[in-house]
Amino acid sequence: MIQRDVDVAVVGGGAAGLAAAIRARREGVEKVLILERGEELGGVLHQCIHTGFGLHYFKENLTGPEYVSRFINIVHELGIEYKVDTMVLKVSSEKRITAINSVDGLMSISAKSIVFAVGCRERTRGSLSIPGTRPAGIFTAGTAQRLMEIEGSMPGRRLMILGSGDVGLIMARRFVMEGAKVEAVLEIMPYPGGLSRNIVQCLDDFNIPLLLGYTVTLIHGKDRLEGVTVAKIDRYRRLMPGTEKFIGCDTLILSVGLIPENELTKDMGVVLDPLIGGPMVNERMETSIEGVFACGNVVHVHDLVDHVTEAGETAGRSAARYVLGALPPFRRRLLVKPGANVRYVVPQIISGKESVSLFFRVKRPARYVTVKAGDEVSEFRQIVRPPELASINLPGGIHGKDGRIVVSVRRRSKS
Amino acid sequence: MREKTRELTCVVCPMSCRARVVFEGGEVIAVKGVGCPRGEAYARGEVMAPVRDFFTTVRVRGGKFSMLPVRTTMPVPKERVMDIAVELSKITVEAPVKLGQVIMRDILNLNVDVIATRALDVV
Repeated sequence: MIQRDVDVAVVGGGAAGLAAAIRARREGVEKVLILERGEELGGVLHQCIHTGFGLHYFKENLTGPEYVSRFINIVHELGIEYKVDTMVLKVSSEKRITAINSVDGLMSISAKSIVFAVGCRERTRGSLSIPGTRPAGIFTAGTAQRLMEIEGSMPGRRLMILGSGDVGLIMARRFVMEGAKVEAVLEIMPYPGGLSRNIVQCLDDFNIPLLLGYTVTLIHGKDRLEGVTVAKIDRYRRLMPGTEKFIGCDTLILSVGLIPENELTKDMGVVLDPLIGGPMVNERMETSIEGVFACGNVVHVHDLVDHVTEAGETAGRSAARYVLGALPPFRRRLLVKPGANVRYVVPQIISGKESVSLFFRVKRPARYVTVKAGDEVSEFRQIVRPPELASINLPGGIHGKDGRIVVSVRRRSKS
Repeated sequence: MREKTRELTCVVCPMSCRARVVFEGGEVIAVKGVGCPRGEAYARGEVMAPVRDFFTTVRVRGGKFSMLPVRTTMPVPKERVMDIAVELSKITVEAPVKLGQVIMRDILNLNVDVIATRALDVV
């Protein structure tokens, strides 16, 4: 078995991992190694062929492949080592990584610091428990996207899409552009899950109906999907009797959410945030284990890759400083907690010493609200919506109350 | 000429204002319901000459993958999106391909080129 020692090991070579590795090298760390499960660096961005990437980070409107190519090129320029087609099997709490690929065989890599940038995976039919038969023709949106945009296969000709998140909307447009028919997009909530830009440009432009407050209640078909029964859902998520109808289709696309991928971190004993399933991190993107960092969609699901890159840079910088002995111990700890109409906040732990951006997601859409972080900061927002990650900046020198800071979103009080 | 009104959702920011564009004889005379100048500009453009970013994938021969992602160098008229998609479904590109390589010059005489959005090596 190959035995290796590295300074910073980055698990995952997508947007977060690339940014972390580049930053670690630029901070002066020599031995940086990226371990990537896929056949090439870049992760999911290679299949996100649409525009809208990089508007914040590069001030340019790029496609996914263009955005990630810039980082892959820098990895090559800096001579950062990487291994593709490589699966990390286990990571011990002493930072020893067991990985495997078909060139090196089994490897044992001892790292001074580890950055987890393994991303997330899609929720499937199993996680929704949709009743019915088990025919072919049911895909998650990301799988359908890979089939079409990289492998060149059409998942179906007559499609239904469950879930109005951005990936589902973007795929609806792509199916129509490639000659298929999209019967409808169903959304269980009373409001759309994706950006209004995508509702307009992916659905309205192509006359695809969006049915709000609907879900799939039964799958039909023996070998191949023949159709689905859909029904209206009330505000308590109960099926409304008498609203069921059959819609014929050969393919059902599920765009019903993403889950951070945390088998490795959990096994090594990293403390996870039960609200989102990702590791709890502090403002350095450090997990509960010293010298172990996490960034990107493994921490929480982002809607903009630009923010993933920034989190990756923070994690990479912290990992480098840890290795170089330049990261002072994290002493004072304030817990950051979600309050009224807030589902989660990242980072979950801050020092309160330096200024920090807190990222949060709301539970319900609301207009004209005041966002509060403890008693210290209060900002007005015209609108907040669950699909859009929001943030609030905390200045340094925060003390909190009983060791915590609560982030809340409330209707603006009249004054 | 009689006044006409068209309603549309502004997509400039998450506020999603419901814009009402009033026009008469092919000219916009008022934009109502939007909260900012960017929204007004968007609503005017959307009514007079709507454009869209265009991107798709095309077949590639001898490459590491069977599809190559491409885009147009500029946004295109909204009503030509499907025409461009159909035109690009007819071609097959030879690998290797460089990032930014022109795949089709001046497609459908629209004054835009179609370029590759990634590099693709041979197998």
